[in-house]
Amino acid sequence: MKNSSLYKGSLTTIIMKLLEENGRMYGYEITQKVKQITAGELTITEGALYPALHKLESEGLLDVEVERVDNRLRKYYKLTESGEKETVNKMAELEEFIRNMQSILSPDVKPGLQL
Amino acid sequence: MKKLTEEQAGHLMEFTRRHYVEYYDLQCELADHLANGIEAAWQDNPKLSFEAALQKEFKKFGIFGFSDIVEKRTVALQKKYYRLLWGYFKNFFRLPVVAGTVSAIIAVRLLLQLSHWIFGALIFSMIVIGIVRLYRLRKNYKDKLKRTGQKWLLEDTIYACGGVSVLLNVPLQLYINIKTVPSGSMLWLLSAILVLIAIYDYVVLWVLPSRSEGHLEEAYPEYKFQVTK
Repeated sequence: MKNSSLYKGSLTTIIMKLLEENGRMYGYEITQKVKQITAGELTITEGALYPALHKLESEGLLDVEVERVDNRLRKYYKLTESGEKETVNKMAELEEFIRNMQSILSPDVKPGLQL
Repeated sequence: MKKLTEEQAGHLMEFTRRHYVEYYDLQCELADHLANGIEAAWQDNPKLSFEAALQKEFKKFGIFGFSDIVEKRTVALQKKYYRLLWGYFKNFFRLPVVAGTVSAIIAVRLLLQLSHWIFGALIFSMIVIGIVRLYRLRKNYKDKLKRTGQKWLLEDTIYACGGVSVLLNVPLQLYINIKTVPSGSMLWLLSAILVLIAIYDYVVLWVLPSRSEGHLEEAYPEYKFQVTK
């Protein structure tokens, strides 16, 4: 992932947000969607994506479906009920983080933050 | 749009196997990922050879290739195995089954009071029964692997039965370290430990293997494609 130290902690939030918006997606589709949305600025590496998907699946936040597409099996991921709730929490956390960062970086925009 | 042939799709599965992806579910997922990448590369350059497109796509997985993905998947599924094991184990302490568990502890305590030889006999029986059952399970599992040619990580973990060392070593160490059967509360403790070991053995050697199909179908939607293939 580009600028990995800044984005790394947000990978699961990105995945869950994409699944919330798109219903179900497969691994390759997720990498391409991120590339498309960010106009190539952000790239999720395969080595980071699949462990994150498998971890979310084992935690019960994602469910999987498999379909035969062309001449191969394709694994789709979708949010479970608890995954949907967790996405809301993660998005709220991320938005708060962004707000705080903006306050720190541009104190004129949001005065009043005390360190 | 140029698509992969059946033969090329098969080659991708073989490619993942050659790169140390033993497990069928991961082979399918990674082969599909490579296939998508190759087909996308062909959209930009239809003259690109299959092999060149494959190598280009594989490079995106970094210098460690698939190994990191396999390693983390193994950790995730092993956690799942222990969660399943714990779920079945806990059942022995819920009503009404807990009455049987308590009765077993009392029965073992009464037996141990009779003679030290009974302690040895109980340990010896647990070890022998464990070895025989483990041998049969492993043999059946190997036969199944030969028949299907498809290995599933969760199934592999279920048929490893938590490892021989736990099954055999724990009772053996108990026998070696306890020279004489204690009395009073220590005897209660020893009886409870023996029953706990027996419950653990029963769950890993009987309960989980007998329900493996259901757990595999739940964990792997791909599993039904193998069975009905």
